Amino acid sequence: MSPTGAPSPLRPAVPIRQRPSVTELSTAQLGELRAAFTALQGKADERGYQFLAGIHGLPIPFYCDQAHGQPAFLPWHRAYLYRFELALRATGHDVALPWWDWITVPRVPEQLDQLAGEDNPLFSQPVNDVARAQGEKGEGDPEDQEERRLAPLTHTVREEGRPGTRLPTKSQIEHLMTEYKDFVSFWQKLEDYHGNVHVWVGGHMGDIPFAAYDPIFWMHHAMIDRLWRMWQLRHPQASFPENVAVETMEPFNLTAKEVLDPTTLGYDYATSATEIAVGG
Amino acid sequence: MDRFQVENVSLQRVVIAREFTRADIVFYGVEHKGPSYEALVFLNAPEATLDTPLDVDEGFAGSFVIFGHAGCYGDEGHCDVPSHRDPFDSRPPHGLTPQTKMVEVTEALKHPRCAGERLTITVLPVVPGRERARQADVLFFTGMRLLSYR
Repeated sequence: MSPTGAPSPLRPAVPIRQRPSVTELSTAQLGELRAAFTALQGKADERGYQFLAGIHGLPIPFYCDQAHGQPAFLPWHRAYLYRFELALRATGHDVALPWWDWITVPRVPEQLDQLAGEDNPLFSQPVNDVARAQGEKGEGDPEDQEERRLAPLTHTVREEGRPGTRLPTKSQIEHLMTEYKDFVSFWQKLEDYHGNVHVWVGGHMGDIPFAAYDPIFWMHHAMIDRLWRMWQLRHPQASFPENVAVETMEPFNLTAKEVLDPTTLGYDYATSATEIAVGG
Repeated sequence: MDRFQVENVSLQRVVIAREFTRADIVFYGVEHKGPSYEALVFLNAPEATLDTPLDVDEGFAGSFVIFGHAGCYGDEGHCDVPSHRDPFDSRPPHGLTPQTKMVEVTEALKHPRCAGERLTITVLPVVPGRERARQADVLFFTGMRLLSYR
């Protein structure tokens, strides 16, 4: 499976960025990414991490309600990651959002883990007071209420690999990529595997209200977005139904059709990209 | 419910004769208001528990996952899905509108374990725990179909 090097139809003369694997970042790239996350956390307005993470769940409204269990699942999250990536770069750090390949790295990558003696902004982030106060308000059986336990916590936590959780396997994903040839069945099964990963990571990632506050959320969803892109390349005639294509991904002001081709958003997922010097 | 089981489901001729290339069990009206969970689907394994290996030889057919809301955070009525929708209402559907979930069961349904004219379907919802996984009262759906395709 090899991504295409075709030019972006939106900006044919402009080379697009290639999103990297988080486990294959150079030391300099990882440093830039961490600096961008730290800078994003430093912005307390709608350009900042807290606002962007809150779009997915708490504080209300849950914009992702348009996405989960709906055909907009893939285009909505593609638009969401695109906005987040733009916000990262707006901090002045030239980064592309990396993906976590939980197939070949079935654990939390060390790049996203706790660092001895220093903070790692890719390990944990604060959760704002409004979201936590609303999380406390959730009703129902306390035993079944993850957020009742999570809401008091000021920073995100993980509980990876709890009993009753599992990561998708390589054979499951390969079967999905080859045998699911229409968008609707592909989306449904991929969303299930996406849920497996959320629940496997656990902690804030394990439930919708707080999931996007954990930095690993973005790398997990970049992996989901990458799998969609790889599937699109395998099945180029498979698009979504027209009623989905014209649906606006709120609050991003993009229709599903506008995010169908990631190169129009300025990125792709080439397995490798080597700059070759030309000219004198 | 914390376990769903239906026995003696009559299979149609094309299924009994294995004249299909793909088979799905589709769950309709699946609620997702509660915690996240995985629903494990077993065929002709009425004794299945959380300790049963997830292997087709043991009757395991597949699963679906609910990435849950885990509660309601708004004022009264915020999480109530409207029973009526104005035909001119172009807003997206209510966020807690029940979902449809599909589980491919092709391999399991072709397994010798499923030979015969009747089928038992068991669904176990699994909620993770720190010490151990548990079945919990989180599985709610309104309909189910077994579909096969030539």
